[in-house]
Amino acid sequence: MVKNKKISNIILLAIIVLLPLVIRGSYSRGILILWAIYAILALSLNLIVGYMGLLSFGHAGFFGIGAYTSALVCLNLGFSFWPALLLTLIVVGVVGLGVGYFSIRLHGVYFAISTMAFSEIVRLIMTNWMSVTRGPMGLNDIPRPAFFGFNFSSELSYFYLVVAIAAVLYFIVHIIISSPLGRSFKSIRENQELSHSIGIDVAKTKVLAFTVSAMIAGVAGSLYAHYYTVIAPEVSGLFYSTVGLIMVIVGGKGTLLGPVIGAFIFTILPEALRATNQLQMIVFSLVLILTVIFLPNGLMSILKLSWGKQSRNKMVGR
Amino acid sequence: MAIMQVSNLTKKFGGVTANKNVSFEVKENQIVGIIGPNGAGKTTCFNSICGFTKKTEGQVLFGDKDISNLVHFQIAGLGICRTFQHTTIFPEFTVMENILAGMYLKAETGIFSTIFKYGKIVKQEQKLEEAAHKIIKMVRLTGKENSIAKNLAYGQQRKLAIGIALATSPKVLMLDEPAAGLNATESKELVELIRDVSKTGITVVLVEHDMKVVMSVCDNIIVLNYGEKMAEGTPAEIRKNEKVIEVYLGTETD
Ligand SMILES: Nc1ncnc2c1ncn2[C@@H]1O[C@H](COP(=O)(O)OP(=O)(O)OP(=O)(O)O)[C@@H](O)[C@H]1O
Ligand SMILES: [Mg+2]
Repeated sequence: MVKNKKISNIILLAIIVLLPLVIRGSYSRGILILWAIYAILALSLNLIVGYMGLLSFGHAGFFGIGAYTSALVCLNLGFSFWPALLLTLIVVGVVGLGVGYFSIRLHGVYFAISTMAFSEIVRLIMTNWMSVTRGPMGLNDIPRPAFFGFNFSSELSYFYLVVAIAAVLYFIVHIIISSPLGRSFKSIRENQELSHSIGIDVAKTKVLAFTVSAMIAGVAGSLYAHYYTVIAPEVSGLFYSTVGLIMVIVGGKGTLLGPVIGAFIFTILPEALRATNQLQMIVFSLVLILTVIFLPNGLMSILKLSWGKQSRNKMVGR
Repeated sequence: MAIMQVSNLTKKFGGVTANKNVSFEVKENQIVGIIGPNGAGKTTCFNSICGFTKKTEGQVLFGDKDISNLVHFQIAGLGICRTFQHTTIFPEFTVMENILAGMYLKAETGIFSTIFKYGKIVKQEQKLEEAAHKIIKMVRLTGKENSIAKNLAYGQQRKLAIGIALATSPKVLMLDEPAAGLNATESKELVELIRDVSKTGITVVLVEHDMKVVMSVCDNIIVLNYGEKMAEGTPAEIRKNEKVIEVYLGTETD
C-alpha cells in the first residue's frame, strides 16, 4: 500500500516537472508558477484546517509577512534570497507562535475571526508604515533568487525552483502527518476531550501546528514576492486567505494531494475566465458550494474511489 | 500501600454541591467501585481527580505526589487514565489507530525528531503496533484492527474506549460506567476484562450502576449519596449496610 502511494507521488512529480515542456510561453508558465505557490499556501492551511480542524482565515497575514520580510531584507540590507528565506522562516515562525498562543484559546468561529483580524492588522501596518513598507505603493525591484551564480530569471527555472521547494515542504508535511505527532493532530480534530485524557497537551500541540503552518505560508509569500518582483499590502488581503481555504476544501481537506489539486483548479479556472473579472468570484463561489454539497471530502474523494481503498496510507489516520 | 488518596474533596457548581468532603483511599492493585444513585456526584469525583474540572477544595495524592493542582494531560502523564461515561473514541480512526493514538505518551513526538529522524519513528511505529495488537487482544477486538471505529457495534466501541485508556499504560485505570448499555454477555465479558487488567498490576477504580459487575469484581466499594460518602466497605459489608439498602440497593431490581 505504502509503496503504491510512493510510486503515484513520483509519477505525479514527474508529470509536474514535464508540464512546462507542453505549456510554453512565459505567460502560461507564469500561471504554473502561481499554481505551485498557491499549492504551498494550501498545503500550509491544510495542515491545520484539514488535519487539526482549526479554521484559519488569517493565513494571508503570514503569506504577506513572508513576502515583505524577504523582500525588505533583500532590498534594504543587501541579503540574497536564501539567507532572506531563512530569516523569513524565523520571523514568520515567531509571529505564528505569538498569534497561535493568543488565539488558540478561542474556539471555533472566534478563532477564525481572531486570525482574520490578525491578517487585517498586518495589511494595515503594511499600508501605513510608509517609511519601511512604502505604504500602498508597495515594493518593487525585488531581486530574483540566484544559486551559485545561476539566476532564476526565466519562468522555466523559477518554476522548477518553486516545485523543488514545494516538494520538500510536501515531504515534510507527509512525514509529520504520518508520525505519532501528526496522529496527535488528528486526535485533537477527532476528539479533544479524549486527547486530553491520553496525555496530549492540546493547547501546546495546536500552537505547534499553527506555527509550522504559518512558516510554510511564509515561504509561499517569499516565493511570490521574488517571482513578481513587485508586491503591495494586498498580499495580506482577505483574498489570499479565502482562496487558500477554498483550494483546500475543494481539493480535499485532510489529504496531502487535495490542496495541490485545489490550487491547480483555482489557478487554471480564473485564466479561462480572465476576460470576465466579475464572473470570477461567482464561479469560485459556485464551485465551492457545489463541492461542499456533492463532494464534502473534496475532489480527492473521486480520485480515492478510482484508486480503490489502497490509496490509504497504513500509518495515517484519515 | 495507598496508590491514591483523596482527602476532603469538595466540588460546587454554583449552588449545587456535587461532592462534599469526600475522602477515600485506593490501595495498589485493588479494584475499587464507586456507586450511588444518579446525580450522586460520581462522575464529578472522577473529573476532579483526573483534572478535568477544578476542585473547590480538597487534595489528591498519587503515591506521595500532590496532584491536586495538575490538569488532565499532566495527570495522564503521571499514569492515571480515565474513560468517559459517554462512549469516547476517535470515530474516523481505525481500531489500530485508536490504540496507537492512546500510546501518544510513549511515542517520540518532538517536531525536530519527527522531521530529521524519521527512520527512527518508523521503527518505533512497528514496536508500538506490536504492543497495540496485545491491547486489542486484551479488549477482545482481534480481527477488527482495520475497522473504522465509528462503524463498530456499540459494545465494541465501549471496549475500544477501554483499550485506548490501556494504551497509555496507566498505573491507575478509572472507568466511568463501563457496563452502561451492555447486554448480559457483554457485561460478563467486561468483568473478565477488568480482572485481566487487574492481573497485569493495574489499579482499577470504576463507577458503575450494574451491581452484578460491581459486586463481582470490587475489593472495596465507596457509596456516594447527594455528593457525600455514605458508606465504604467490602461487597459483603455494603450488601448488609442498611443505609445503603434503603437509599440505593433497595431500588435495584436485580
Ligand atoms: N458541569 C456542571 N455544571 C453544573 N452542575 C453539574 C455539572 N456537572 C454535574 N453537575 C451536577 O452535579 C451533580 C452530580 O453530577 P454527576 O454527573 O457527578 O453525578 P453522577 O453520580 O455521575 O450521576 P450519573 O449516575 O447520572 O452519571 C448533579 O446534580 C449534576 O446536575
Ligand atoms: Mg456519572
